[in-house]
Amino acid sequence: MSVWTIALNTYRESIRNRVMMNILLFAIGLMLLSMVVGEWSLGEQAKVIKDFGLSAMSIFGLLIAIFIGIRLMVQELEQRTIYIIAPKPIHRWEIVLGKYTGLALTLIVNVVLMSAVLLGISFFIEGVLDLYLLPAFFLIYIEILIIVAFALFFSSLMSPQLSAIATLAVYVVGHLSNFFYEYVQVYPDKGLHWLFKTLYYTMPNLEKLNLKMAVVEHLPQPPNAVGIAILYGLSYIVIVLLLTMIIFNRRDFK
Amino acid sequence: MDKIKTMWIRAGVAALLLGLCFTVYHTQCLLDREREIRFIDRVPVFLPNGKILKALSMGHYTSLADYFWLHSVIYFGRRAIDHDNMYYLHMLSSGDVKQAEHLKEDPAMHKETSGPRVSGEKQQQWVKNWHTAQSGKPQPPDSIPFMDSKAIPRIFDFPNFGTMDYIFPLIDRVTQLNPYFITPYIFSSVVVLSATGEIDWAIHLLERGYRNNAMRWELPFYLGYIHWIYKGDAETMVRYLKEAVQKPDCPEYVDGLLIGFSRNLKQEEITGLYFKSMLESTQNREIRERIQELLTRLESE
Repeated sequence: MSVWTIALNTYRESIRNRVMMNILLFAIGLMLLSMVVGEWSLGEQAKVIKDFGLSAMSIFGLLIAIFIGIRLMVQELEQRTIYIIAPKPIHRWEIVLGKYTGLALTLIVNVVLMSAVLLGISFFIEGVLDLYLLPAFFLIYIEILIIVAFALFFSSLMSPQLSAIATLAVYVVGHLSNFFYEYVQVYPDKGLHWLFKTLYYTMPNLEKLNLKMAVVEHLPQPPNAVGIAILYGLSYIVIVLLLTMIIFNRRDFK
Repeated sequence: MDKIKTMWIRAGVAALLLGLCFTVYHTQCLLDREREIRFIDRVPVFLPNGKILKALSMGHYTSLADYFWLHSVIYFGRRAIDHDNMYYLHMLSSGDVKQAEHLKEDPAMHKETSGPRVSGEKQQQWVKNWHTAQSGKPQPPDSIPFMDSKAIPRIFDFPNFGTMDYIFPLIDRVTQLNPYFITPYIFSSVVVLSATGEIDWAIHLLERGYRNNAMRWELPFYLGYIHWIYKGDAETMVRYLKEAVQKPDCPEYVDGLLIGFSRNLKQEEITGLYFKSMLESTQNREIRERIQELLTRLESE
């Protein structure tokens, strides 16, 4: 019950956040702008709009995750509201889970809004509703949730600036995973191969959640590919959240 | 008293705002008049290969492919069809595309290109100069080893031979970043190839496209086109067409082409048939315009 109360509170708080509103408006503005840019693409306007729209959703989702996710914990510590919550009869893990759930609710509103705008624009251009895009929307949401989990994890450990850098690094490494894998395959005897192998298996492989090209080009996907990717993402989120809860539980607020 | 004071302050602020708006507008006009028309189609100094670009794109490789695609279209447009790009025409008239950057240092150049657009007469003069300059320069090979007909080579004049070194490398990056994006393959094999005459590049890109999109009939169809028209290789053309007709969704007119070839139609007739099939094969306006232009030239020969 207390998790849900904290979640709703967090949701109300972050939905009113100006930074998030600005990022959201900017993302929607960029999607609209891509209509103009798409006109220069020699008949590929719809494709360009979808590509840029999906990228905008992912990038601005990342920004929201970093700005709001890190602020969630830091704000509690800086404004000292954590001292009011901590002595109450709620577990610390409930605070972490509540905060995370609240932000996940906020992000789902954002993703749904951006998806609706993108679908609307593509419908306006093509005259058909491209439902192929739906799995990509869903996986972008899962990707953002992983980044939020990391933002929360780092912000319970480090300063806000360092947390932002570390979260961004996770995003970068997460998208370079395939490169690490290829490196290990091609150069199994090279010096850095153990490092790349460790990174590949410990960092989230965000490329597994990247369906942008497949949905825009209508490429056939292996059966259950989306389901397995969702399971992978959710498992990863649970691991990071559990670690955050353990750290938060041990943290001394005095 | 206070009311009057407030009124004066408000009037003063309004006057100041109006004055500032006028200043902004006027200075903008002044800057426009003095501005230098820049050489817009800059070529990239360093273009990393597709694999590096893919790693750098952080999962947004389709958007990066689109960016390079737009860049290719603009680059091609500036060099091939933008006849009101005065700086470029003047640069062409001076003879060397690669020296374009140095022209920016030439005060005479700035005199010619600053201010509003140059008159139509001036423009025509520059175009004329350009054609004169071209006559003394290395020309594209008598490029098409095309059989016994004299008509076919004449429909390809490769107007941009040697003037757009970066167009194929740019499209190459597009297709490396997104190998499933079909339009660049077709654009390069019809529009760009007929402008530049770089046959090997076009074949290289189409072959890559075919490897990555083995079920698409358009790619063997256009590979057949290049081998037939530009290389005079009927055998390879027939092989590719036979592959194309086996693909799903391959339209009937491709079969018609094969039948026409087996009936020993004249080369011009088969070529005409090919162009008509190509017109059917794409809805892209720019590509269709170029094919129509080639078809009209063929028919007028």
